Parts: sequence; C-alpha cells; structure tokens
Amino acid sequence: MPEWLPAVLARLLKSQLRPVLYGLTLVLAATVVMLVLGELFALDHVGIGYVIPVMIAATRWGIFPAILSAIACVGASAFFFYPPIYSFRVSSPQEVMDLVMFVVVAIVTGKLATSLREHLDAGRRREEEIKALYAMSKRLAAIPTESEIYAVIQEHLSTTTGCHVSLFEAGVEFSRLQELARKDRIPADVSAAMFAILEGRGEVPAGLVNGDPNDGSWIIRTLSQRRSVLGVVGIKLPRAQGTNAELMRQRIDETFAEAAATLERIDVANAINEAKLRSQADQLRDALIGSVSHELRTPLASIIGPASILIEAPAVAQDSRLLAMACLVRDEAERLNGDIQNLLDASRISSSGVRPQLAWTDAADVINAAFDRRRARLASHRLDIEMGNDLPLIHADPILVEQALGQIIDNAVKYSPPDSRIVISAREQDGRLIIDVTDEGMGLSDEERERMCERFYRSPRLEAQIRGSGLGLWIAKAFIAASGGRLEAESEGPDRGTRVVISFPVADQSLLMPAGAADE
Amino acid sequence: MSEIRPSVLVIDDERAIRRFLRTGLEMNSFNVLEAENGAAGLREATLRNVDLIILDLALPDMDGAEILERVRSWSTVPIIVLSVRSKEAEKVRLLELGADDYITKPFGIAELIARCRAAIRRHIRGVPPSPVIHAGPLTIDLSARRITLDGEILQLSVKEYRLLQVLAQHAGNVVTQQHLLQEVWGQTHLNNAHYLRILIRKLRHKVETVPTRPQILVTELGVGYRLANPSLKKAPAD
Repeated sequence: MPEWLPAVLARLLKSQLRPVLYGLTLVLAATVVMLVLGELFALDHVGIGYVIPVMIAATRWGIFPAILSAIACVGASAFFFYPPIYSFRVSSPQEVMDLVMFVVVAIVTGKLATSLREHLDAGRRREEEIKALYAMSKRLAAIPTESEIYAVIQEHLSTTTGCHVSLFEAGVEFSRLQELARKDRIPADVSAAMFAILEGRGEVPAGLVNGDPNDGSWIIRTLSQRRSVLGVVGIKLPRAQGTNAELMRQRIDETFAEAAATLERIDVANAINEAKLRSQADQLRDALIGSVSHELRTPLASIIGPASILIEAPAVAQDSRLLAMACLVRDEAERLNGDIQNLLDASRISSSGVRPQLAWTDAADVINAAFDRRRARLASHRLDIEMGNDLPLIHADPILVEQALGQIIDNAVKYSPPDSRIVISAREQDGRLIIDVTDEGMGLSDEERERMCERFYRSPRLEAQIRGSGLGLWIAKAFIAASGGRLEAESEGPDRGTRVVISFPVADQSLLMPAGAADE
Repeated sequence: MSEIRPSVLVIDDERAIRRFLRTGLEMNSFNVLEAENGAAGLREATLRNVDLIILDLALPDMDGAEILERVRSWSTVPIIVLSVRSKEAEKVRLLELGADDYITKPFGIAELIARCRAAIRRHIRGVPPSPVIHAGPLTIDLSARRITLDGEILQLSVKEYRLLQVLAQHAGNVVTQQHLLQEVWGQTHLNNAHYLRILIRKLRHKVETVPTRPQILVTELGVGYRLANPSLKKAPAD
C-alpha cells in the first residue's frame, strides 16, 4: 500500500463524511427492513433489495458514497442473507455474482447521476447567465442616452463576474477619465494601459496587468464594434491566483462575446453616434435660443424700464393723455415680450420636449403668480378668484403650470368683451385638483373645441378679428401634460362663453406630512 | 443719515439699460456708478465704497456667477442680480452663491427700487440693522422674539416663529426654499419641500387677511419666499 493513500483517503472521507454516513444509514435501514420482511414472508433473494440504497446514494450524493454503500451492502448481505448466515463467507458462485452486480450498479448509476447533475447545474448557470444577458439587452434596447448604455454594460459585467469593473467611455474628456480612474483607485500602470488603448496607441494586453501586487491584478478588455473602440473595461480580480484568474478571464471573455452579439444587434455604435449628433443639435438650439432671448429682450427691457419711469414721473402722471401713451408703450412691449416667450417655449417643446421640474406645489401660489404677472392687462375685465383655504398640494412643475394658466387667462381676456367677468377657480373634486378659467366671451364651436390645442390652429370665425399666433393653448397643453395634468375645454357654443379646465391627480395628503413633522 | 445718498454700482454691458437704471435710481435718491464689463465692475467694487451692486448676468467678459463669488470673497455688499425669465434653477444657484435678490428682465423701476431698498436697509455702512421689522400689519421684533399683528401678540409655534424670523432677516428680499428648509428643519430635510408649503400655509392663516391671496408672505414661484412690504419709512435712505 503506497504511503500517500491513507492521507488521500482521509481527505476524501472528510469531505464526503456526511454523504457517506447517509449512505451507510440507508444500508442499515434496508438491512433491518429486509430482515423483518424475510422473517415475515420467508423470502428468497432478499439481497437484491440492496440495489435500492445503492441507487439512492449514487443519484443523490455521487459516486464515492455509492461505492462505499455498495461495499457495505456486499458485507451486510454476505453476513445476514447468504449462507452460511452470520458469517462473511459466501459459498455459492451465483451469490458472488450478485455481490459483484451491486458494485457495478453502484458505479454505473453513480457516474450517470453525477454527470446528469453536472449538466443540470451547468444548464442552470447558463440559464442565469442568459437571463442576465437578456435583461441587459432588454435594457439596452430601450436605448437611453449614451452614458446609460455604458452604465448598463458596466453593471452587467460587475454582476456576472462579481468583480469591480471600471469602464472608460470613448469620446469622453481625458480629465474626466482621470478623475474616474482616481475615484475607482485604478493603479497608474493599469489606467495608463487603458488610456493608451482608447487613444489607439496600445494593444490590449493578453495577460494580467499587475498594479499593486498586494491588491489584486487587472484584466483589460475592449468593448468594440466594427473595429471602432467604444470603450475600455478594466476588471479587478480579487487576489491573483493562477488558475482562478485564468478561469475568471475565460468567463469575462465569454460574457464579452455575448455582450458583443447583443450590442451588434441593437447597433450601439449607431445609437451612440446619433446621441452625439442629438446632443450637438441640442447645444446649437440652446445657444440659438439663448442668443435670441438675449438679443430680443435686452431692447425690450430698455423700452419697458424707461416706460415705467415715465409712468411714475410727475409730469406724465398729471397729463392723462401722456400717461395713456406711456402705458401703451409699456403694455405693448410686455405683450411683445410674451410673444417672444411663446416662440421660445414652442421651439423648446417641439425640439426636445419639456423637462419638468416636479415639486410639491400649492395651486394657490401658481394662480396668484399667473394673476399678478398680468394684473395690468387684466384691468379691462372684472376678474374673480375663487379658491378654498385648504387646496391639496399637487406634484407638478410650478413654473410650467403658471405659464400654462397664464396663457389660458390671456386667452380668456382676448376672446371676451371688455368689462365682462372672468372667474378663476380652484377646488378638489373626485380625487383631482381642478383649476378652471370661465369667461363670458366668444365660446367655442364643436370643431374649435376639438382643434383649439393644435399647433397654429386659429378659428376661421375669429381669425380676422383677433390676432394671435395659434401657439398659446398648444404650449399650455404641453406644459400641463408635462406636469402630469390634463387640459380640457367646454363651451355651450359660439358666443356663449368658454370654460377651460386643467386638472391634476391629488396624492394622499396624509402621506405628505408625518405627524409632528411640521411643528413640535 | 437722511442726507447720505447710497451709491449703487451698475454692472451691465448694455448702454441703454445703464442709462435707464441711472435715471431711475437717481430719481429715487441713489448715487450711481457704472461699469460696462465684469473686470471694470470688480475694479470699481474694490476701489469705491458702494452700498449696493446691480449685476447683469450676461456680461461679455465674465460669468455673472464668477463676479458674484469674487465679490463675496471679500465683501458682504448687497448684490441684486438681473436675470431672464424661465431660469429658476440659475436664480436659486446665484442666491445660494450669495446674491441678495434677483429681478427678472424686463422689469419696471418701482419693483427694482423696492428690492434695492430692502437689500440696502440691512447693510447701511456702520449701522446695525433694526431688530424690528414691519410688514403691513405685522411687526416682528427679533430682539424680543415677539410678533404682533395689528398690535396684538400672535401665538406662533417654534417652527412658525423660526420661519418668520429667517424671512424677516431678509425682509423684502427673496429667501430660497433650500435655505428655509435648512434653517427650520435642518440639513436632513432639504428634499421635503412640502413641509415648507404646509407650514407657510399655516402661517398665512395666522397673518394674512385673505390667506389665499397673501400680501405679506409672498411666494416666488420655483425659487422661494419673500416677506413683502417692509416698512420703508424707517429705512435710513429715505
């Protein structure tokens, strides 16, 4: 017997102790059952029953416990069931064959069961991986922005490898990458290699890159498509151990192959290019809007400001005709300012959509702001505000809602005769906060009511009498919708007044204020 | 004090706006200094003794925020920023950088003068700000911690008093929502804007004649709140 055998056996026994014990217990149980059955029914060939514990041990715990169980079975059947009974001697060759059978059955089923189990495990693992990949491709397919694409890939890699993953995007400023490298604590030589690859100066290292030898080593891989590098990924391996790292790299490469296929399918390269173009167009538009806004408003400010001085100057205030002139200058300039705001808003809505800044908002504040901002223009009408003391808060963008409400009020003033009544009211009704503006003006025909929120729609009935751009309500509707609300209009018909209603869902107010939070 | 005319430094690159501001401010007993760009503005602010700076944000040579920060690094002089509409986030940022108030272009002179007086009242050279602030029928005595409405003492909760106190310290000028949340509830509640909405509403019920049409606790939509109508009769500038 070689010297190393006991040691190996001991290790094997230690790791397999529990399954082996289970197997032996099964054999013991089978022996007792068969002894009892043999006594009761006087059976021959009871020994064949030992196939059962051997099979169970083989399928459940693997080959080693199965073989040990088989040996135990051989011993037990020789001792209890084959003559001479209560002795390990076996006389008949037929019975020796039976015993050999046990061992063969044990080995064969054990092997089968083990490989079956391995297949099953591998299948399950694969299923998990595919699920993760599928989840990733689903998230990628919803293509968000460029940086989100990278975030999805990075997150997927770090969950599938279980390691820290750093991803440098192509086309990002060098200083930001450096900052990222510092934040992720990437060793200098690793980040240098990553930068080199991004800039097209370096090759992807085949092996590991050792940063700080005490702190694990790094694998570098590129994320590329159609020969253009989309990003460089650095993955930090926990404490390098030869085989472990090799295995890890294999898995990362597999993940990458899968990811590359997914990326190919959803065409990330194009998406990223488009995103870049889009953001350039956005920048151009913002710059344009910014400059229009500045170029047009500065002269307007130089008209409205001095007009306000004239209006207050004693010499003008004493002469009603001069005062009226000065007021006309101011009001018309303010109207022009509103028109410019409309154009800017319209271009904002159609080019990039509205990005609301949702916040808990008191509708009373919004109504007051909309009213106060155009107090001067409202002097021609009798205006009433009706609102309860305890309106629920809404979650909306206060600025957008105020601008929308302002448009609606402007329209009410524009399309109703001087000295008529306009009522702005706010209340809670059926779980919604309702703000409505009711006038006694031109009213709406069915067609007008349906089309009034279309861009550039002007009613043929009123187009010649009242000027306008056809943008106001379209903007109002977009702003209200962006804030999660609805805009509707009703009218009993032409010349019978209009009621424009905006409404917002109301959250459960009791959730807003935990007891004692406001005051103690 | 009444013969001292406070001097205002106007930093704006548009000649027409500077002329309008000079006329309007001089008619309202201010001395006016002008600077047509950021560099000149900073120079004037350092060399001259100014009581107030009116700063346009869109200057050709420098970012308004940068000028604001540079002035704030050595001076507490009140600064009012001229901004354009629909940039509430920018207004909030500038207020947090140390601007005392903002005014949205285009604006009328009366509005500007009111903001200027409110800002300047707290910073008149060498004069400690008055501990008693009047806002319409409301009187806030910061030293006695007493609030009266039409002469009658008003019972307020701790948080209501704290809120009113912070607004009173900036009477007439806007205070950002973030600042109020931090001062009244502390750093951990900066995202709970609804606390503020509800507390303001409670306070309005106590001090406003018509709580839904507030004249004293005025909302600056998307930015914060303002304690309006500080009694200007007591301002030394008048």
